[in-house]
Amino acid sequence: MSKAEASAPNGGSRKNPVLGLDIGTSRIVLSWKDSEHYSYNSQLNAFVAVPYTRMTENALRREGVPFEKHETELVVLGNEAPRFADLLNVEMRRPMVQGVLNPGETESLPVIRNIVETMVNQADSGKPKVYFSVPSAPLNGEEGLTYHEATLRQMFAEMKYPVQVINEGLAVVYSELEDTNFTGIGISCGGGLCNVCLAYLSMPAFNFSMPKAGDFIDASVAGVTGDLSNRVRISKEDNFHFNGAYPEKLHQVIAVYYDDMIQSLINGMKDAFSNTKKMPKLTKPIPIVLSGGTASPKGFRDRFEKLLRATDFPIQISEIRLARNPMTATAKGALVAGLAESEQ
Amino acid sequence: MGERWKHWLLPWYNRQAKQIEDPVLRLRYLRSRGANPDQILSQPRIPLERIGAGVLLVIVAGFLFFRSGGSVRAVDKKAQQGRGPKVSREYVLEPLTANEKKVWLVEKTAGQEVYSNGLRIETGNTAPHEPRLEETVAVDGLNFVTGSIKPAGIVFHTTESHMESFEEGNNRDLQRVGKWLIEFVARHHYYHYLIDRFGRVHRIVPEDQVANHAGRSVWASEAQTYVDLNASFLGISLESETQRGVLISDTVTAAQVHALRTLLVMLRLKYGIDEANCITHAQVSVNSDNFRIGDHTDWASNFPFGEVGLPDNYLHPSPAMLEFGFEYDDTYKLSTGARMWKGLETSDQRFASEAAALGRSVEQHRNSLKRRYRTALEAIKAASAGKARDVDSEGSGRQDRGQSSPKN
Repeated sequence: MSKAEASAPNGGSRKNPVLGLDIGTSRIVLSWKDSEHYSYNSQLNAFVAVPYTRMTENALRREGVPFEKHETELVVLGNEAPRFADLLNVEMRRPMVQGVLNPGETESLPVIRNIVETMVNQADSGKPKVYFSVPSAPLNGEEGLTYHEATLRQMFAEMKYPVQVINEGLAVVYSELEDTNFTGIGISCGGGLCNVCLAYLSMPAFNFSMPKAGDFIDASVAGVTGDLSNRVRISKEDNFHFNGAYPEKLHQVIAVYYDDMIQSLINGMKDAFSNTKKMPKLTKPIPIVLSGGTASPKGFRDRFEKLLRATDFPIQISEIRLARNPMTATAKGALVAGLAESEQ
Repeated sequence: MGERWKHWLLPWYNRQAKQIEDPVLRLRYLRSRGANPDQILSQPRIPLERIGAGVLLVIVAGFLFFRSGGSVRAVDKKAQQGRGPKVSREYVLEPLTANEKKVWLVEKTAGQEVYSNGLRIETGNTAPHEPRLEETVAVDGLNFVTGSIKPAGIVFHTTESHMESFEEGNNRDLQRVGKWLIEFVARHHYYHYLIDRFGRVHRIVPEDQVANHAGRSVWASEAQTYVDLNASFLGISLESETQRGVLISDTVTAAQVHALRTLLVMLRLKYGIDEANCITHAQVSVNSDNFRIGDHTDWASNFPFGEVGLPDNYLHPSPAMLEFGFEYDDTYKLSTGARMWKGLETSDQRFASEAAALGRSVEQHRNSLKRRYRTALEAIKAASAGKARDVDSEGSGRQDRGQSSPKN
């Protein structure tokens, strides 16, 4: 992360009328605009609870690790969580699953709130309007989405931030497809979901989500290799790339499940676009832009294109491109939407 | 009909948005168009008998869309500071050749006139209208020309109509759209001449008659000030649409530029029209409600003055500003090119100098000139109403010029 990316959005006298926030299953990414530049701050949307001891508490303080002190445990938040999970050989706990609040995690909302508050640096800020991303409904329903969105709205209301929601796939379009007047397909491959949005001249025509994403790969690989999902994720994000030859078994298995995920995504898109009655009248081929942490490994774009071109896809595609920064595209798109709607 | 017709405008939005460089402002513009997602869905096939009506709607929608200000209103003041529209190319003066300095009518048949400089005028679609008259109104001891039998100048327009891609494969569509356009403008007496995309010159309204092309407008030569140019200037329109900051060749075809040049030579020689009185609609159009120039912005930039044998008249100060206190806004500035900005700057400077010379503040001077324009307008309306009464008694009438043009 660059210095600009790490700086607080409201440090000094700077005031941002709008913030973009990507509340993803895997990461929470905040974006803001400093004069002409977009800046970002990213935290893992995860935590680890470790047993309370005075020595552990002192160690965390000494290293400046963000944590919460509970009666019998210390909760390590955000980017530091995987290190402690690996050290203690426990799974990280996740406030969200499959793109929405984790119904089985009692700490989900307080943890997200804590991470968001830290990132926005509330103490120095006014109350900028926060544009936060929400996933699309899965192809076969809307379960959980209403509760997810309403709960986050309530959380921001308690924090006294005005908010507006934006569809995650549409945010990717707004971030990356200005050269086609925001016409094309934006795909965000995150931890819990792959969100897809087809937009025409900035208007969302059709969007949906697919449940196979990064977490599916991690869990599936862990089931085969016996590793912890967290270790699979770290290896996937740090070392894995599509190159056709995988000396390590772990990477070989990751590649298998990546292919499964990509093929499921393409098949889902094919079925959805073939069957929808909401198809815009497209007069020329449109681009696809890929984003999200799961789309980050080197070679992902090529693999996606190869599998897509092998499919009888119902829409003519002009190009398939990777977002300029796959990790921050959704947050940037949310910010762009906010800036476009804000009074100058 | 509801909102359904609006989907025809989406290509317009697309083109206009591409002229906005800042992604945020571009998104703001697109979202501000207020299009309903339903508009972008595939439309059911339109029966053939309705296509004609559809294209007419496109033309009308184009006029209305441009009248509403088009894309430029989506771009705010801050976006313009320190960053102007691109200039497509350097101004190239191509002076008249010796052969162009004398032109005569070679042949006249039922549907065509042929001139010695290669000009051919299609006359089959000519739609007679009311005759030109010598008319002036007097305000503050000054005479303003509101009509003249001999054309005093020429206003250049674009049709802002539906543009098919200019390719051989689109030949039928290009011809069909062009034909409908000619019929449409002839029915409404919009111009004296229309030059289609193949460079054919069509006479719409005879030169000695009034065309509805620039109703609310002001221009001035050194000798005269003209108000409401419908009855004193000729209107020539090119089948095209204004695209700020793009190459002229993207806006009009080479055949159109060539045809315009030959037509201009003929008209200027025939009527002795001063080159400074050959200007674009964007330069003369005014809005008398808010006292802003540029109510219409066709040919607000990139008119090929040099290529048609004229000096760069974009540099000319705005008579509407100097004579009647009109102002320009950011919307207008954004839709014009840098060449016209020089004319606006000159107007601003000269206006301030004149106010100082009269011992007035700029605001006092402006208010005084605005009163002059309002008085002139009232005089024009009164004269028009008087004429209507006279003609009514004879059983036919000339319409009120103040409402003469749907485009204005």
